[in-house]
Amino acid sequence: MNVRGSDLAMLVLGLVIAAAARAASFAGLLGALGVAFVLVNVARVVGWPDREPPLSRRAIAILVALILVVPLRDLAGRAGDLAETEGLSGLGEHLADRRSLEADPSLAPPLVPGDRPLTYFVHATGEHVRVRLGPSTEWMEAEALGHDVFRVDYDPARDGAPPPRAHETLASIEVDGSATTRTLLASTPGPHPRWLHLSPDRTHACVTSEETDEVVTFGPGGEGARTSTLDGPTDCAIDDAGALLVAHRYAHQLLSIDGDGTRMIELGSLGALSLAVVGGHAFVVTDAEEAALIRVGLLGEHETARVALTGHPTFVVSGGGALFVTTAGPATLSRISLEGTIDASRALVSPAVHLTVSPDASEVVLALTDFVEDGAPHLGNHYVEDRLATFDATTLALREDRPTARRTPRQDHAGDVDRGASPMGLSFTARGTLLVAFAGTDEVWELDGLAPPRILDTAPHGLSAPFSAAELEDGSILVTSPSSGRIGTFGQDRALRSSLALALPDRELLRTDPDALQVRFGERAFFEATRSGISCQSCHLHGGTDGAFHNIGGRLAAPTLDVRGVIGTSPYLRDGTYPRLRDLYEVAVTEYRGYREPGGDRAQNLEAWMRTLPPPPTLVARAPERERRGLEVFVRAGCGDCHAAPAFTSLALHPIEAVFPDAPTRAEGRVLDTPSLRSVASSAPYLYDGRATSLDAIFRDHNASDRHGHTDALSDEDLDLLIVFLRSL
Amino acid sequence: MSAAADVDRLTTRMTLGATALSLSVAVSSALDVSSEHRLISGSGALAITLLLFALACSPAATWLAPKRVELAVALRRARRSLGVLAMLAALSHATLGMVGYLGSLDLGPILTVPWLRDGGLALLILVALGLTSFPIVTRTLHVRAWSALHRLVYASALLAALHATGAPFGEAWVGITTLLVVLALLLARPIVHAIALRRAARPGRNAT
Repeated sequence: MNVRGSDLAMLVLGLVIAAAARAASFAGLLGALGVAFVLVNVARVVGWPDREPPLSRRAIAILVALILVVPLRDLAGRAGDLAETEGLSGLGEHLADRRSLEADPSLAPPLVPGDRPLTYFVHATGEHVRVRLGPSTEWMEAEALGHDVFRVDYDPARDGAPPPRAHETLASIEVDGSATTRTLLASTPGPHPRWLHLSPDRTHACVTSEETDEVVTFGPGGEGARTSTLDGPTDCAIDDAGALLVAHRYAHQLLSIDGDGTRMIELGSLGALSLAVVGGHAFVVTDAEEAALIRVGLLGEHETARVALTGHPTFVVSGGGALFVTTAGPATLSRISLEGTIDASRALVSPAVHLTVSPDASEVVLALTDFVEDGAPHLGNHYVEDRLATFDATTLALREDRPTARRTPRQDHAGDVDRGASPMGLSFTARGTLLVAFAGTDEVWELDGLAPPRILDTAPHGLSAPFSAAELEDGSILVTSPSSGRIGTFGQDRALRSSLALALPDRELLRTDPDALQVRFGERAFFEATRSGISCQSCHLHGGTDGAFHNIGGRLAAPTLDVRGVIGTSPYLRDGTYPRLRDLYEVAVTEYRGYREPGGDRAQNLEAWMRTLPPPPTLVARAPERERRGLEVFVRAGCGDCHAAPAFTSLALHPIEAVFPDAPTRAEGRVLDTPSLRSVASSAPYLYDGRATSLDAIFRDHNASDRHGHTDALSDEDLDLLIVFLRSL
Repeated sequence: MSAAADVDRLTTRMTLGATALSLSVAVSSALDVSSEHRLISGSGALAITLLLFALACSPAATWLAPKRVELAVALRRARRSLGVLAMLAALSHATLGMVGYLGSLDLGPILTVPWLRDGGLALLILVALGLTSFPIVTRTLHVRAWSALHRLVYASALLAALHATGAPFGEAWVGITTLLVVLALLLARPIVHAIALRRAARPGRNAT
């Protein structure tokens, strides 16, 4: 191998130019070499000898050592920038996810939840597919949808759950008798008591734990008792007669427990999300087949009224002979009569985190992350600010808008916020003061008008990231901490009187199951406030989405993505900026000034927790034949080229103008990470800029170029079938 | 028949064989996708496979030179033909991609997405190498240091591998395999060269 002086000169000159120009991309490096090439050729033309002798090895080594060391050192210093520019950072994780999804057979999501049903999709070349999610689960027959796509509906209660402390499980996929194994993440969350509900006389309280299918009741004195319920209890209520009612996400019935025993009350729908009891009726909001408020008689045990709602309902509370219902996507607050008439409704900028009605039923108070009384919603997420908004209970007119995120003397730098972040639960006391639980700053406030709040710090009592607080008749205050699996009872003097531990304390978990502790810390970090007062919860409400538009770090204003079901789908964010989930922590550090207590393993903890979140449940009724025909249309329109089974994303980045050349939002130079279509029915608004408000509108109104799938040639029936298939995901 | 004719015949056969194999890879790659992206994916696979064959020619020729001189010479000649064919396939791939995927001849999007940019740079290098493979071009442009430029073929192959790794209409293993093969060939080059020198230095053997 002969090396000549001109060859070395070209290389050295190229590297010196690259170093001087601070090149941190392949194009920059090549450009520098190109310039060097031209210069060396010019030198040869004007006089450099054509027949130069080859250099000796020693000469080459000395020259390389002397000349290259400085530019190479300089370039090495920018290797990180180069890796980021060229998409090499985190390439290993991205390729591992792609390889997992492109294998034959492949299965998604790579997660086995021990607490809730989950639908899996398998991509396999074969006729007959069976799946077993681990040694402790049963074999499940997969339903063939066509085009090598199979569906498996898993229910841990029926098919067996992974062992409680397992964090990995070896799944088997059998295709036409030939089995392949895949390693999946096993997740069995502990008890998560969230929102407390008081009986009308305030002598009793209840709270559900959806993860462990139980309800905890408290009597006078604050002693708690645990009772098993049906699958996925989402909310509870206690009626005038002292009967306990429980609503469930995965059961068609309400559970009624009183002195006479336990009864089932047929609801006629899955997906109950919130429950209120008034005048012998239970009112339930559900989002299964369609968003609705359902009224059922507690004695007649049948549905007596149903009110269709727009958007995705989140809460229903009662007060003053009326119901107050909040929805997300679009975010609204409505007053609905007990007969089912919508008396008043108003738009909100972001969905309510929680709400409550004042004891005299004159006001409704909402915990919000953003609010604009008139005009267009804010676009930038620096406008996000936790607040309590008080509305007139009759007209829903705004009475008071009170930001809660506050600076305190504990601040380290001007502008830092360490109080009043991530309000999660609201409850009035009998005296008319308002209790607010702040998960972001580990505290409960008691607010009495405009006076400074009386603050109860909860973390020292093992109640981190509290969700709700409620005062019993005797003045004791119950506080729930879902991430700790604990409910504390504080006396009137605000000293901890007792604590009901539904889950192991942190110390014990560190000894017995450190991985579970990491997940627990990650859950807390999700709610923890940054110095700016913003937390992950501020936009990804309850791990989902606020349905609003945000512009993180001067990128494109885009609707918030759901953080559930993201395991195995690297890269992340709309533009695929971050190859690993833990990289999202950088957003908190760079955009929101980091945390008051920096360091630790927050990034890894957050990643550990987010990986355990399954996609939101799809509770639509099955229509297998129409779904199969919908998949035919899906394939024919080319949707599967990018939204490839089994995760319904190929994890690829596309220039936006290649897919949406006629988009009204200027997108030149912007990149789009192909989103997964799992649970797409509940993730409106759609497209990277959120301009499509329904699945139908994506194809009918926003695909004039016919480049986001070839849908121009599809008939109305084809489009209907396509949407049936998409809704089934 | 003269030795030169034998070499010519060998060169033609090897070029045709490598091209046929590359076409076979291209067709199998195209079967993995479901619509017009087949052509794009297939042409890309063709270009990459031809490029890998071209890269493999040098170390293979060095290895064979002491015993199979004619074959080694034919391999070195085939390298040029395969490289030029790879460039033509890559140009076809780029044209198909711009029309079928990007929907326009606008270069803007190519600069936006890393995997597209990698492909663009790989093509740029291939075109430069392809053009300087013809003496008439180097003479006309007064390009004299073209031999050093041709070592950039490894950079082109690495960029093509990264392009294939990120591209949406193929499978990641194509890119990963390409990356591994290019790295292996890059490592093999000096090793094979050193072994060949040692062989040539042994007494009783004829160096090439």
